[in-house]
Amino acid sequence: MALLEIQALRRRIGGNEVLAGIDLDVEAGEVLALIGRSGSGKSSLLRCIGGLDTADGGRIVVDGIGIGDAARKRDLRERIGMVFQSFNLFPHLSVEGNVTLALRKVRGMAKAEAREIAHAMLEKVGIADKAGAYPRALSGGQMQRVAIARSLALQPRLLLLDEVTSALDPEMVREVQNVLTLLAAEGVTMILVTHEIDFARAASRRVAFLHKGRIGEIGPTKQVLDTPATAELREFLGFRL
Amino acid sequence: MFREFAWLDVISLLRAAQWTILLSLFAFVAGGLVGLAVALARVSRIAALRYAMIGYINLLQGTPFLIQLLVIYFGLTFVGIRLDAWSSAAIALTLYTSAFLGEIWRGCIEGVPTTQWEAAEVLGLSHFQKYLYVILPQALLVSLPATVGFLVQIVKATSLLSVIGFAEIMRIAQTINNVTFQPFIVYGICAVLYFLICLPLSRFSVYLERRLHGVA
Amino acid sequence: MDYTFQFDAVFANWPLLFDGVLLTIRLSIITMASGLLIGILGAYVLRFGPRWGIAIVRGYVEVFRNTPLLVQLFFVYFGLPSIGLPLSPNTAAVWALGINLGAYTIEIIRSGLLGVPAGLVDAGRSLGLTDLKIYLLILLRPALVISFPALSSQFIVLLLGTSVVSTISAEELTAVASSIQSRTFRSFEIYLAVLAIYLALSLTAKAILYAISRRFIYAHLKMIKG
Repeated sequence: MALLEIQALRRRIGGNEVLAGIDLDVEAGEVLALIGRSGSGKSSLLRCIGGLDTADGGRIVVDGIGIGDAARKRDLRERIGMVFQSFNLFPHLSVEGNVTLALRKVRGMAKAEAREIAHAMLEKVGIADKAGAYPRALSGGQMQRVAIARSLALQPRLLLLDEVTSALDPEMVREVQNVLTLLAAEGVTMILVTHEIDFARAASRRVAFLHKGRIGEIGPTKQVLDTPATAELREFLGFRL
Repeated sequence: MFREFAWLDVISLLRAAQWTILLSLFAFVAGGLVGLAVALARVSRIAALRYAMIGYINLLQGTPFLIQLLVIYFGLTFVGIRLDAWSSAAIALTLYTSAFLGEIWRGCIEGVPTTQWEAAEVLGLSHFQKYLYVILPQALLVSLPATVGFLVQIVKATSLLSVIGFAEIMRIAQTINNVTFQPFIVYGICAVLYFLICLPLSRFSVYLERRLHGVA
Repeated sequence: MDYTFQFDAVFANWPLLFDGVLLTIRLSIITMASGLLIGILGAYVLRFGPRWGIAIVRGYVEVFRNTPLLVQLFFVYFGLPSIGLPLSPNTAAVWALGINLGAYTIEIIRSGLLGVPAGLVDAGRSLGLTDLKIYLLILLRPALVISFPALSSQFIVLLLGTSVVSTISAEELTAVASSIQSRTFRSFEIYLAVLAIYLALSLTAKAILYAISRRFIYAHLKMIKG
């Protein structure tokens, strides 16, 4: 059984069908990149998996638990982590406070234990020296690494990354990419939405190209990006026809 | 019955100023607690609660505090409590303050970006925890300048309690003026006392505003 | 509960209450006009005035915003006659309310002026206009447009604040209510009715101000902000 199973997923906003029937499986340990133009439905798909948006039809099952199963909402939350384009760190909490909040209040850990985990995570993303700093004192790349650490601290089975490098300067994109490469090597299952092809190429093993709410193409990263089968993907990648 | 205005009268006014300050603090604390509930109800997911709070806020912000005070003062007789300046003052100030602070805080709660709610959601925080640990701390920080600024309005509003006989600065001033008939001095001193209470609060509010914008 | 509502006193006296409403509206409009005038003049001084002028206006704004309207009213009504400036209750009411409102409008228009592009002043100077003309012809209109929402809420505060002048028996709604209740002893019913009347007044005023901003202000704002 795949870690994530999506069947016939539909979502409508106003009169627009943002997701027009998505079927997708993601295996544990896999890194999948969702690419496509803005408005293709890639972010919407990610937000549906993350439980931030509600689908109008179809189903999403993560680790055997259906999204929308109210009784197991908490179990589901524990399994899915999400990182955002604009970091969304809590500005009133220190870096450590950001990372320990859910450990303490959701997992009910003692302060010392939560701090220990937080420092291990911050170490992993290479920013342990900033534990006491507040988000406003950090650079974009540092903030995004803290956001990743905040998510990782809860040991999610599935990590969702929504355009995590889009708000960053090029040199900071590197920092974050390195962290993701490290996580991929550790076997963390990730789905990342991006419109940057280089990032998708570097970070993912499989790519799904979304077009008008459907999966236009899906396959191994190198194959999909080097030999696109459809005209839409070729155009998106900037191939000369 | 006339007598000269004396130093003793200044001391009476200073004593009365204690009541003004005490009453203002009471209004701030009681009105703040009710106001927090008002703000939370105003942004509640239950529509009926939201509409009820819009009505509550409109009623209290759309009518004079003086009339609210008189309705409560005379209304207490209706429910069988004898006319009592203290409880009327306490109830009226609490309601008035709660509506204004509630509205200020509602704005600040709604001003916290939805992305903060989402970040808290994906970490698994419950609705209550999201408010407690993520939304309210940010909202209250942003609301500080306006909140302190409203304290000035509370202090000034307490002067109207003289109308129902509450012995704060203005009431005592009137009684002194009645026997000395030196309104220029008596009300002048009143103005100075209020000014000395309100100016630091106003300045503090401006300071907080600058700091908030300097940091953010 | 041995109290029964009797609104007879309210209904029997409705013509008086209606007059009270008209007096309150009149008082509010006169005060708004004078408050606005003070605001326009004061904001000019703060922007273009000499240092001593600025100090005086600042002091005025601070003093009147940090003391209660009631004290200001008593000072004007009881205090000024004692130094040889006798005023009728109605005159004292207009003075106190207007001067009180002025302190707020100065501050509001001053910050509205900050939103007007500074280049306009240079443009005016290069045309050889005096400061006063630059202010009146170029800066004032956009500043008032920017300040309109804040001025609107201050006007509502003033409308409700007029009730305070009943304490010196100036003629308006609350004073009328007070005299009816002292004759009929139906205080609760009368004040409850008056509460409803004030609510209707302020909601109407809000609606009118909103309509004005829809009709005139939005288009201007677009012009200023481009």
